[in-house]
Amino acid sequence: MIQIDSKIIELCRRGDTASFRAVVQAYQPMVYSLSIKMLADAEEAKDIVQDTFIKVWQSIGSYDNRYSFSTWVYTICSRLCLDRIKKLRWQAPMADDIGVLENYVSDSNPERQLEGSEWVSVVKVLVQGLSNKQRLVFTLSQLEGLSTEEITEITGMDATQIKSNLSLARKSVREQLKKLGYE
Amino acid sequence: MNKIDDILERLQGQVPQVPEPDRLTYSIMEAISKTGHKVAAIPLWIRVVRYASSAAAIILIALFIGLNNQKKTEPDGENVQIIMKSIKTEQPVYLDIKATIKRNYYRAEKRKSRQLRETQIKNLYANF
Repeated sequence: MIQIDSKIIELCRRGDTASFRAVVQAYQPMVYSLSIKMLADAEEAKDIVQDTFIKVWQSIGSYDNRYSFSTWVYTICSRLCLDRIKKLRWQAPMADDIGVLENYVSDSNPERQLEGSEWVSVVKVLVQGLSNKQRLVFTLSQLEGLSTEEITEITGMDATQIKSNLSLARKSVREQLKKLGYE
Repeated sequence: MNKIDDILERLQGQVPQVPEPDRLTYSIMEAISKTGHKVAAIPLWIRVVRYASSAAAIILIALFIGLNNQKKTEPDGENVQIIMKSIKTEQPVYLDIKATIKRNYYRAEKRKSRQLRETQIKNLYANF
């Protein structure tokens, strides 16, 4: 996870907008990454990025610096994503989306990075049928690569709940991929 | 490793590029300039010290005002007369000593002049 100098955060707490710009620039990719993977919608993800940083700015005075700033930002972003998911209508993956995944899997370069629009397609294929909690835990653990402790802090779930949700989510994702012919 | 695990592993930790990141940053900074900002929470111990010192200051001011407004005790008229009388009647000790010295000096002077006079008379009679 990204770490930023505590002095910059302290300046933000005092209302320094120049320091906050540095925070936005540092954490923007992380917030966008979680948003697009959760929502599978590039425009909605940009909206969530903006809403997250507005919320961070408004409540940075109450940020407890005993905890990781990244985790705190992740928490705000994930809550906003869950609220937005409830309002959005889930779009089932189309043939184009499956095609994007096939192209990615068949690519000989294992280091290839997916574009934003490709992420939308891949997520649509992978997470269909997951509950909101399973989706959040799967995204944080499997796609963002966070530890169970970090996910506990972000979601407020205990380790057992996380393991249970993650297990169910993995099982569902595997079934989706099996249906597409991957073993 | 099977294909599914391979796909999931390749996807892990990938961070998608933000489209037009500077524009997004600009719009965020514009948005926050229109919103409020919650300043850093003051630590509990500082708040306690502030309240305690304010309370102590108020108590001291109240005490000061209370003591200044307290009714001053006026001397009783009879007591004043008695005191004044005692002041008048009782002579100071130093005045008494001074009077004694003066009296003794005067007596001594008188005795001297008498003795001188007696000596002069004796001498006058002796010459006759």
